[in-house]
Amino acid sequence: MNIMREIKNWWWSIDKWILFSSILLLLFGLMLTLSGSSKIEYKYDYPTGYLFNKQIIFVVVSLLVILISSMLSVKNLIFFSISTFFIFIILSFLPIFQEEIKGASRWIKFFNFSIQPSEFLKPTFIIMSALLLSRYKKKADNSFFLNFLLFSLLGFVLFLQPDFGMFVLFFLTWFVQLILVGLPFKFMSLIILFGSSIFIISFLTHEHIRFRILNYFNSDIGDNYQVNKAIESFSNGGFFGTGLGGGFFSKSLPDVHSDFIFALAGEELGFVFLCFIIFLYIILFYRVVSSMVNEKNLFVFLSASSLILILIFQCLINISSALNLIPTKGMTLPFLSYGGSSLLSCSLIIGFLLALTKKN
Amino acid sequence: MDERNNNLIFDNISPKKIFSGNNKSILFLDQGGIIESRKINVALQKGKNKFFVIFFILLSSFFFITLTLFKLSVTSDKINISKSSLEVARGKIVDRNDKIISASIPTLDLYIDGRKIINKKKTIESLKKIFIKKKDNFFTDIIKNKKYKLVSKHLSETEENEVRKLGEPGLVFHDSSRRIYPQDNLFSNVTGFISKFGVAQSKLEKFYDKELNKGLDIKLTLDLKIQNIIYQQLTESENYFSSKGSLGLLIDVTNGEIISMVSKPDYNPNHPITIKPYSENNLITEARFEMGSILKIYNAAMALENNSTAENKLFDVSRDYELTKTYIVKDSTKFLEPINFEKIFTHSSNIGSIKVYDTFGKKTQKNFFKKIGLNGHTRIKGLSTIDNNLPSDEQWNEVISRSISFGYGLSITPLSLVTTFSSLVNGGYKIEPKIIDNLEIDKERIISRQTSQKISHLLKKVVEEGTGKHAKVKNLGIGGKTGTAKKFNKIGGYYEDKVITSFLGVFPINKPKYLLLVLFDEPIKGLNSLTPYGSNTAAPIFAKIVNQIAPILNLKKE
Repeated sequence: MNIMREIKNWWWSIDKWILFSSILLLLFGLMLTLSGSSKIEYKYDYPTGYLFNKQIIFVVVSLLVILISSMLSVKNLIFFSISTFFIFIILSFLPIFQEEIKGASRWIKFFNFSIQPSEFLKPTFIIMSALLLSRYKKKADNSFFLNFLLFSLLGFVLFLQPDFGMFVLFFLTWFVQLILVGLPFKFMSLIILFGSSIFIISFLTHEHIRFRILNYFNSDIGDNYQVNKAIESFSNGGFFGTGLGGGFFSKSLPDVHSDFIFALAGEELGFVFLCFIIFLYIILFYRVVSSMVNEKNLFVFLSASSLILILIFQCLINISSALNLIPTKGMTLPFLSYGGSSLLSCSLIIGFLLALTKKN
Repeated sequence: MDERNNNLIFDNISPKKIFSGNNKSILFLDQGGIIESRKINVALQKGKNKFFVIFFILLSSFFFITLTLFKLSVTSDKINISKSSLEVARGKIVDRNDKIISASIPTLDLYIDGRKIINKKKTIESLKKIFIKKKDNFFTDIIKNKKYKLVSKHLSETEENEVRKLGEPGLVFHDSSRRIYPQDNLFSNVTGFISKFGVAQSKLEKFYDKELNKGLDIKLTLDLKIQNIIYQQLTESENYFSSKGSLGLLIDVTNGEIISMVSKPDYNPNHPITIKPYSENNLITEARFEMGSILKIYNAAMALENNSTAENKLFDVSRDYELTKTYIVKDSTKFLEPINFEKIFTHSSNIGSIKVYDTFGKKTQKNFFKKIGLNGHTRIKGLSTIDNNLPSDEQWNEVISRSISFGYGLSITPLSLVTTFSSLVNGGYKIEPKIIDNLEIDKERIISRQTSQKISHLLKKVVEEGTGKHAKVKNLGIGGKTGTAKKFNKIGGYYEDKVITSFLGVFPINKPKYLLLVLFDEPIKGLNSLTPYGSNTAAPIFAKIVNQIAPILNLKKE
């Protein structure tokens, strides 16, 4: 009886728009994986349905993660985040000593699955940073310094792997968080200096970053194979697409199931479907914004707004690079791309958001 | 809460010193925590405002993305072409007997995925042996830095087998196709070429890019065998005469079909990288020449067409003609006695031509050029062409007209020359030149039958007894006209030593069917002579060519 009441309470208190949009996106992702993974399975000699079956497991686990994390109280959420953050930052150092996959060491082997620990740092770091920042406003003690230290640690891990895209995402979100809390100008200028120096160092030391950026600005050199194929996918798809499984150009992309899933969706399901996907993301965003209007707690405001922002930034970066609006960046599209770590991390974000926007 | 904030009541305010870093700051705290909560409320409200601004900024970027998507997926149409180009092999270009001039064959390109190479050392060593031309550290660089890079386009069979033997998963083959031109240079200035990356660059390949990409074949009126003979002859004689360029153009005067079109310098379209810009010009359609003496035939046609008295008169050409104070017209062969109409043309007398012109005048000349279509722009489907350069109405005075009468003062494309000349000898019909094989001939008479017959007779005489003697071919009636024109220099005069020599011949002359133009640009010497003329450069080469191609054209020798 008690559990029934708990569930009933939970059901009435959560934001159903957020919940159902996320579930819809998860299902769309599953559908696209069915089409996108076929090429990858063929290419790497996996048995048919191997990736799809894996993804089904991820989706089920994701739903559980959303359910459980949305039930957390704010206090438990903080406690959970702190412990998870430290576990995964230690795990993040591990892959550096392992074999590389696709030019970077971001994954650790776990039975049959590869886990990308840095994905799980996304929601947890945001919660910790929000906590420290709301404390900073209250007490004006060393909490900002601590926050900066944590971010540097995170940046260091990502720099070693190297995962430049993830660093940009973290930095962007963190920076916006600092703007939201209203940090004094001199601090902000220091942070900007810090960010740009990291960018320049990465540009100078990592050749593939330099290549990607130069390649974007000067389309004569090197190959724009991926981007060209992605753009051709969109034009081939037209209004209603060629039908699920009918992709031609997008199938020739090496990372069609993850980084370029949007191009696949564009070719197979068309412009109208893409608009619907974008609409779903905007619903998520809008629901969080509207529930923040009457929020009284600074911590809740900071964490909820940054959680949704990291998700939206990720969408924008992924979609823009598929459209060649920005240099190509290996980044997954929330909920739609194949990949367990990305899916779980996004589910954790949605779970946290549901927990934070709960009505009394 | 809000009410309390508006009417602050402070209990037990106490200062609290805080040391953070080097900065000292003093914070006032009260027991009820009102100061603190008010401060946070202000921060919260400001933060919310900023958050809403960010929301709208990001919303507009979503809007921008949707707009870009709309442009890409709904309004762009380029995709149909490139999709078909991936699925259908590009069409062939064939000659009039269906021999292949240009075709596409499937090939493989090799890429290295540096991340997937298993045995790095062995792979580098083996690849170095297969692709000897690559730089020493080319493969080491790709594999060590884990790049994905193109190694070689269009692998040969041995290369492909050797690479397959290595069995490395990081060596990736991509399907590709290559345009091949089995005849190498032979048709380069007609077909154009396709770049290394598969983009049609010029001429027919570019003009018919859409059709070819749909898999349609293009059939030309050109004949491979004849093209080859003319090409060989021109190449040999170019060496002998040391000319800068040369061209040969064979046309069927009855229907405008071009049977051979050779323009040199040329290039090998199989190796696009080696192509030099100057060799890309088709001299027949994209260059103008002052044709010189060949144009005297037009002068004759004008006289005949307008029933002028010239035909039956005798002309005194013994004295040089003063065209302007500074320009004295001379003849290379002097005649002290008056000569008749026929002799003026067989011996190519400049002075005589002016005298003949004087019997009909400027207006007739202008009208004639207009009628045969020399004043405009002779076009041919599939190739780019340029305008003829005739004097403008203000410039066109008597002096200009007189110099036109012996071939100077207007520059025209060889295509234009051959097209208009055809009408003079084919019985007087207008023709349209073409290299694409299709039906549709409408005959429009522009010159009288009699004039046409008389011109043919005149041309026959030029070869039999005049300047065109070297163009004679055994057992085949030839008519023609030589041309030697000094080249115009940029200062406004003519070079003394730079000439264009040409021969325009028609055969069989009793019932004209074919017209062949041979032209040399800046030959340095002639056959058995140090001064090049049309009669000792182009004419003998014309004879050689016709001798060889006559059997192919099914011409019965008399």
